[in-house]
Amino acid sequence: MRAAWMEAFGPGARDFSAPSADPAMPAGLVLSPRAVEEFEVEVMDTPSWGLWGAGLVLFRRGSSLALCGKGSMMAEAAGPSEGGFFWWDLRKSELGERLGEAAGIRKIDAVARLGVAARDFEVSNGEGKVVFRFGVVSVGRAGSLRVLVPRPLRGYGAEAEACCLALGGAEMREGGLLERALADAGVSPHLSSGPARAEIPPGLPAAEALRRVVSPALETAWKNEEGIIRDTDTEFLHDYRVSLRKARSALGLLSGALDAAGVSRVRDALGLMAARTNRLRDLDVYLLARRDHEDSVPEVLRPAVRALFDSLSEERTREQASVASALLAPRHRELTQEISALFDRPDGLAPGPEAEVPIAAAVSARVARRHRKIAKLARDLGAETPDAQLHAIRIQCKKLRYLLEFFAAAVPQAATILEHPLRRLQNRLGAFNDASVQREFLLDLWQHAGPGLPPDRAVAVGTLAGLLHAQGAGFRAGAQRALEALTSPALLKSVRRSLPPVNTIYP
Amino acid sequence: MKIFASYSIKGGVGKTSLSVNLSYAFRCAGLQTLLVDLDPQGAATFYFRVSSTEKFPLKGDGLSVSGLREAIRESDYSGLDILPASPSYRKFDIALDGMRKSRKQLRFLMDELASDYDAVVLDCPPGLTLLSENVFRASDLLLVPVIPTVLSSRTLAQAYEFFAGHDLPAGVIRPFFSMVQSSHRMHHDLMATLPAEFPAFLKTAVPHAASVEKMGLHRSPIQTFDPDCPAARAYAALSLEVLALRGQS
Repeated sequence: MRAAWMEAFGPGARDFSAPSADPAMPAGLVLSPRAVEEFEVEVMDTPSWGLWGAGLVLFRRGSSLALCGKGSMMAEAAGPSEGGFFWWDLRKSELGERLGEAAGIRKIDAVARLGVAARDFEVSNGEGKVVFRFGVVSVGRAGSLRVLVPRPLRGYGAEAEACCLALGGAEMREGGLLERALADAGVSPHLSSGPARAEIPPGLPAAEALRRVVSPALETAWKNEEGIIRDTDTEFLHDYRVSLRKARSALGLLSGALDAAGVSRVRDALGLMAARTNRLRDLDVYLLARRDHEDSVPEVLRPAVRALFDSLSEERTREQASVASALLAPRHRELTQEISALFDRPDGLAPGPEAEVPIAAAVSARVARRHRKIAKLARDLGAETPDAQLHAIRIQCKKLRYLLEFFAAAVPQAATILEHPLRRLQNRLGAFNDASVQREFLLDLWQHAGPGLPPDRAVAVGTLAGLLHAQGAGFRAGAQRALEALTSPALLKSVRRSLPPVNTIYP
Repeated sequence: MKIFASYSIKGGVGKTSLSVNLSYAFRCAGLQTLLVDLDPQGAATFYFRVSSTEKFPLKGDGLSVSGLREAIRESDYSGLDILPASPSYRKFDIALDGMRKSRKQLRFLMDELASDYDAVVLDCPPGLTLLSENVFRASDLLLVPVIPTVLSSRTLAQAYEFFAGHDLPAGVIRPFFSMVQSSHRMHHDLMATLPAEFPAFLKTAVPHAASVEKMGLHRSPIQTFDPDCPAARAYAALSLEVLALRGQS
């Protein structure tokens, strides 16, 4: 039977903050208090509230986990009684699978601790038969939030109705008990670790538009540093690098909006920050795919693959410590503050020659140029084309995507037209690139180890590299088809038409 | 869903005690269980403090499914529901006799509950009637309490004869010794010889116990107020034995 405290967070609970002073039971019915329980329950989620975002709530009481969706319990399982965990740390279960879908590779940890006091009551008729049960659950500091959880028994609907009427209580207000309990505990679910989309009207001067993109991207990058230092999960580093890349890319894409020398110094600094984490990110990507890689080789090679990953895991521990130390260095802290200051104020960086050009005009020209450039690079693409050229196209596509992502409001039609084909291509190119990077990583490992690599490990490396090569070839074929769609004459024409000449919109 | 009937031609052999305690044991084993009190005396209904109902209609064109669902009452033990006895069951045979496929009406009715319950226990009135034949055709196991006496064993033989004469599968009949007093010489002797004559006898035997009679005072299954008495342990063992027979252990 589900505990009343869990149902307190469900849709059937009634607000009991102001109960009837002396609830009198209907005639012939007798109220008996039953068990009283006081305990602490933890609300668990990922750092980005991924479970909450998926409409799920995970409770932990001791080592018992209960996953609820929209107020109804979906699954229960045992888990670690303290500390965070990943979904794959749990024994195989329905709860684990559901967490895997919602949390992905993010760590799940306590985001709030709630004090709960649950009191059960029974109502019996003249025969001594229980005809209605209910719980009164108090949550939060000093039991400030109190709900009534009716638990009617089958076949005794009339008695339940009469008892509820006598007990009083009101419909739950908007938000339910959990939202109010979290607010009471000073916790507010925040669904995204990414920056809020900046408001950029088409007529905004390019310099100001650029600041509005760069400033929040930098803020997000710095916010993720704590998670990297604590090594909560690998997504902090990923988000950090994405934010740095976005800030750096925006500065490059709108060159001319701000002082070139200043922009160059900032881009160099951001580039160095990102580069310092390259090895750690490579190791993360590889280790995240560990189970897939182990499963992809024959059983006989698995011990060698495991040994390989164990050594990579040890290297990651060292690399993470090195990155954390760099992020904690006083000079790094100073540098981040100096860079942020340049974009937080309009006078942080001197204006460039295109500072006052309306952002729509600046972006229109760049979108058209970038799209044409991709089409040109894609023109002679074939099976024999070196991977490097495909990589160059991927970079161009990423720049085009960033342009449209940052300044969509300035070129809404083009953003809409290109969104789907660009995303399709980017997904395929991204998968191709991941396979290539992992393959190169292995080959690099093999070359550096030379004859020192144990034979079974060398065979494992060779097998995995071969599998990744074949995988990459599959992705490459898919990418080529998506590229043809993105650079079709019809689409080029359609995008060009969606971008009216600059002097007609802003004479 | 598996259907277990507590049945005997003879009265006073421990059918209702079996139904009540077996249902409770199934519920404790995590099975969503329904106890159907088919006996107009309503003793099983009484033991669970549920009121008898007049609502469950016996119609001429078949038993009413909606009426059945409305009549079900949740017991004080979650996971165990009761379909209370009704005085109208006195006319069960007459009602069934007027229906098409009169020997399978109970089966049809139980099929409607297949998605609601893991186990159904039928507490049957004594006798060999049209309702009894419905029970035979609906049940996966027919549990027959047999007091180790001559009369009781004679009624078991009568049940087997009826099955043979009506092309019913005798394999569903699983007798067990009930109300056993080991100090009685006759009980001792018959328990040694009857299983040879009827090899389907279950291994578990339920002893005669004062606690069983106290169920009427407590109005609850024996396991709730005297869980360590020999009879309570025997019913628990019996529940495991019959679940194992039907692959639900």
